[in-house]
Amino acid sequence: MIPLYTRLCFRRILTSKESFLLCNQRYSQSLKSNPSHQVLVSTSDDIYTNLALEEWLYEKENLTDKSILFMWQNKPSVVIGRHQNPWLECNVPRLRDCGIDLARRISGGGCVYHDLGNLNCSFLKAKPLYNRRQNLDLVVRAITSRWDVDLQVNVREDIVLEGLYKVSGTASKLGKHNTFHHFTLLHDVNVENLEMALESPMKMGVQSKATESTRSRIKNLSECDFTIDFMSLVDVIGHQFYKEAGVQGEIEWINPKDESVFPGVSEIRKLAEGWEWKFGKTPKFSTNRTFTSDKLGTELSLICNFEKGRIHRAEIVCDCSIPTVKEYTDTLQRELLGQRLCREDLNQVLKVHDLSHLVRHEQLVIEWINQCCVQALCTGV
Amino acid sequence: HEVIGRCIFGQLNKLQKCKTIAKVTNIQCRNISISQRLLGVKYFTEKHEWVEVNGEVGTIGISEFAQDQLGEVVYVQLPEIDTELELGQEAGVLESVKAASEVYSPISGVVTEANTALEDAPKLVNDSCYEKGWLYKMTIREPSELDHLMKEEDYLKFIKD
Repeated sequence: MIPLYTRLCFRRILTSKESFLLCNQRYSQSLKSNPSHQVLVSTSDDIYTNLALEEWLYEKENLTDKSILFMWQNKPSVVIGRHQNPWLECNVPRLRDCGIDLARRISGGGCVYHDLGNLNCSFLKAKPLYNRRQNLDLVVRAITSRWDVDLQVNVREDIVLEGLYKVSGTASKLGKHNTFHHFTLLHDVNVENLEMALESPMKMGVQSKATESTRSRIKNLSECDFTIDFMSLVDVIGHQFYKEAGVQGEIEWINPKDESVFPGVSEIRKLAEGWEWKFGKTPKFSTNRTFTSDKLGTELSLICNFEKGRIHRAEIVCDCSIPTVKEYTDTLQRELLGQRLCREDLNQVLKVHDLSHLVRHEQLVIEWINQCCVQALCTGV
Repeated sequence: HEVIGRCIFGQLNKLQKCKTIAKVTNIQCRNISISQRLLGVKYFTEKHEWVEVNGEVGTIGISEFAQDQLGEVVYVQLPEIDTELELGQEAGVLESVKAASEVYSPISGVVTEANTALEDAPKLVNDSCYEKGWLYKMTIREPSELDHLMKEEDYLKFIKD
């Protein structure tokens, strides 16, 4: 008997391979004729590419007579809402070290972890047809029509498994004429990675106006039935979408990087990947930390105000009366001003200087102050 | 009789005064209607934004109908001061528990002030959408743009439909 874990691994590999093969297959021309309903599935697993296409469809498509269901999956990434603070929602330095992408959506809502065990669904419709409940109910009907799972939509418009576990997080964007409602669907996500990625080291002592996430207990759909995976979900949800619209249609695999079909999409992707969008759009926040060293007999207070992801004001006060230490904290305060809260900028300022000309005690205090700053700023310098 | 006489006389005197006041008020009313754009009159867009004109400055907000549709506002993203906005251009975003909704500038001009009170209290947009929950102020580059907007009575009819 192959253990469940191994079966799931095999299924995951198969899914990736199938996605790759289908990438070269039929690339529908029906985008040019104007159907009333379309189901599009991305052949890319890059979060920036997929978000860029979603934004392209929202900005450019004429949805007066058309509704689109766009589905995709991503390699490991963390996606925050439009007005969230990435440093508070996830472990920014850890994500960098593990090669996990961080992205900021244009819709609101909370922070989510994606990997290939998560399906993203985006319903793009004209404003009069915007209805989140309808979309979520459609997906529940689709899934329960094929598998015997206890799935419901609760009052918060979350899809809940067995009355307890959240399997979906929802968010939307409303524009002049167009809207989209998108949500995740956990079928086989790596829960350990999810918990590691969403644990922020910077929460202590922080004041922030950014929107916060609501944490919930989660469970993967594949734990109820191991045949629930990306391909089968895309199939059943896609066909349910056409069925409930009362139309015939095919599920279309598309290349979201194709500029000939989606002119301008690369530009959107470039902006989505940039530091200014991901981090620079963070609402104002501040940190207020106090550190004590009994060994050195000193206390340090560090207050930083951040605006647009940069240090807007820094106040570093050590109760040590030694002039060289005071000089060090004054210099640090000055140099930190205007720096982006990122490794590249802060490494320059917080690098350990040559302290050989100082007495031992002074060296220790300065090194300790440096470490406290690194800890408070949490960028993993 | 004397008392009644005095009372009647007193009332007549009052009426006389009222008549004079009414005459004066009438003139003032006519003045008010001519220079309507100088006072706090609200003009509405089909996207449920309003602009209130006070001299050279327009104050922008969203309507009661809009705030009700949005649900509780949890974050307000406002334009920066000195931003040049065109009529219909995206000026900001209101995030509620339901969605992130774009706010469109009802007129063209330059942003002069943003309501920073909304940073700490975004819910003011729900609780006081016509007063404390204003979003931003701007110059009025083209006063004629106001002619294409709806007055309150017309807007109320519009949302009924």
